[in-house]
Amino acid sequence: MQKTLLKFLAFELVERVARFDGLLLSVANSTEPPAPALLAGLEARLDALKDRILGEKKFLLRVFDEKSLKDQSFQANLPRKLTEAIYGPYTELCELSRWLPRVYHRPLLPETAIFLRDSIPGELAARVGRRAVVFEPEGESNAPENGFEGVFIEPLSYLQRNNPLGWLGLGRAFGHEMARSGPVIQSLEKTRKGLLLDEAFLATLMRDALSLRLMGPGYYYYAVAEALIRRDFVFLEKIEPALFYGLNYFNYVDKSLVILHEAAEKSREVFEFNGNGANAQDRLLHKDQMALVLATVEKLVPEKFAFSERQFRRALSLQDRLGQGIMLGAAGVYPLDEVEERLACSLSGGEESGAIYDLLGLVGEVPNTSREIVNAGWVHKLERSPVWLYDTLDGSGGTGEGFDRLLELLDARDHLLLKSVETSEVHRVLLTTA
Amino acid sequence: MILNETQILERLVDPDPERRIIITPLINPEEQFGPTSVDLRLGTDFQVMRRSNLTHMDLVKDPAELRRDVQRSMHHVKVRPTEPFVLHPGEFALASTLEFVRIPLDLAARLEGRSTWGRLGLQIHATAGFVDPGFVGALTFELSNVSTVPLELYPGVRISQICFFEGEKTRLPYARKRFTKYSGKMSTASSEFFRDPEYERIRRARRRKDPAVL
Repeated sequence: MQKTLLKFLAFELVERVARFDGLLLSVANSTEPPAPALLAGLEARLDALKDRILGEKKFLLRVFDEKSLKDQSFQANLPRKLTEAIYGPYTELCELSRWLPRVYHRPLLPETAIFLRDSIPGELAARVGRRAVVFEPEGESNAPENGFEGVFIEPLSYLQRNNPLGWLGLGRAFGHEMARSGPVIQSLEKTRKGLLLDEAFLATLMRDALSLRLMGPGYYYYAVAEALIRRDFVFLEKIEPALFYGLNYFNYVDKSLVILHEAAEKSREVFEFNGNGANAQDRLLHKDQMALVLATVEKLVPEKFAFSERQFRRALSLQDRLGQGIMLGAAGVYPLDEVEERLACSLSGGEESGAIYDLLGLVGEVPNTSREIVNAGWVHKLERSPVWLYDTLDGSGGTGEGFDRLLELLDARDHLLLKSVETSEVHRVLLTTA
Repeated sequence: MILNETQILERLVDPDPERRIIITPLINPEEQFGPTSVDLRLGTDFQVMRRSNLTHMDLVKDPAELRRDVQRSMHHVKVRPTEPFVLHPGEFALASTLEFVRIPLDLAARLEGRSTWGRLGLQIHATAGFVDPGFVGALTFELSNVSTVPLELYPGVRISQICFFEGEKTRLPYARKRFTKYSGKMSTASSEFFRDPEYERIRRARRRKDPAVL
């Protein structure tokens, strides 16, 4: 299981490096690149960083080999190697990211608004009680959109800006705001029922439970990925087990989630918490607290606003299409084999021409929600990331060729997800006006 | 042989993924199907040529510079589902289908305008209506308004139709062509003529003739 954890962690690093490269490339290809000297400097530093990561490829590729992982010397050197091969380069990438605003000025993608409208209904957003609308799609005024009033949204980091999977960070920001709002704090007080529970910890649990209920299990993937790459031990130790409990509570059960949970559990051993971590008893207590929080969250976010178990099943079925490079903005109501059978029966029976309309009706599609689309993206990411990681590190050719290929794959997936989100909205509009 | 509605339908649900036509989203097939065609819809993103920004396209410039020239001359517009894109008389714009389309290797296709829109003066392609076997992605429209009044175009409107022709399975599908430039594009893409290999040859020939030329 350590293998899963290390692959997932290493992929988080190479993905972010490739995305950074993509941003610099888009700036360099723009009509008037700002600050050319700074841009050239960032490109050179990023190339050096890629070389540094590829210099560690011997270690990074060993995570694909079960035998290597069991090797005692590998295990003994693991904390040091993790710093050299992953956390050191990641720290450098964060330092480089601080310069991005000087050269990269693009606003959030308009598709982000579609996702937020779908995920955070206006009625719910209004309960947060804050009027600040930070999110401004390109070309739109500051006026809040219909059904989108009162949402406070934190700006997304530049690296996650074009990444639809990163939008779940906006969900977390909303969960954070909602957890601090008046009605939720009152609910939390009732939840504590006079028990001596840490208020700040409960608020954090509330943030994550709200985000999970609104965004679906994609939020769990997102939160674990962020915690791993940022070495957020508090999250991995205390919140993750409770959040996994939340997954079961909402019936988001899937093999990939169990694998990731077990990998996160393993992180306790790999990262060496030096006795600061929670013990088994603490974890049990955290789960009990989460149970209280989840019951409150169910009341705060009623079924009609929540990401349902049925939606998760739909997201799971969509990830195959993503793997085949097919857009997933809509899906058929009837299984293809059923329609094919009906069509064959109809043709052999020599039905009248009017019957063709009955058959055509069977291939009509219904739109998927943007939450389903993004959740499918996360499931796909978890499944594909080991292969993409291996190809990036082991690729033949020049230094950056593996990263270039990864960027192409990420771009293709991002565009598929974005177009899917966009068409699903047009689809919904056309259905409502029909 | 051109496929009729039943044959298109059979291909849409073909159990063999290699033979299956993919058109998604199929929002209302009863409205979209014709005797030998399926109507396709307009997407949300457009590119309009800005005539004022460029004197000419110097076709033998360095490709990176040419890419920038093309970008500088195109204005990108994205509209929301309930907002129109207005195409003015005499104006040319690139757009793409709302639908994602995948053509099997034994079919070719043609994208045509609908007469409803043709009667209003909308042309949906200037010259490139042919779709190769193996094409994957959103199809590009080369929109022009040849009437005398502006046309309001809403995303999701059926402005075109696609028909399919059956043939032998190709060994050179569009997506795997060595010099393909637009395969798998999900949004409206501007011309990448400068990636055609003949321009590199012309550039080299000019360099030999005159070393000062890039």
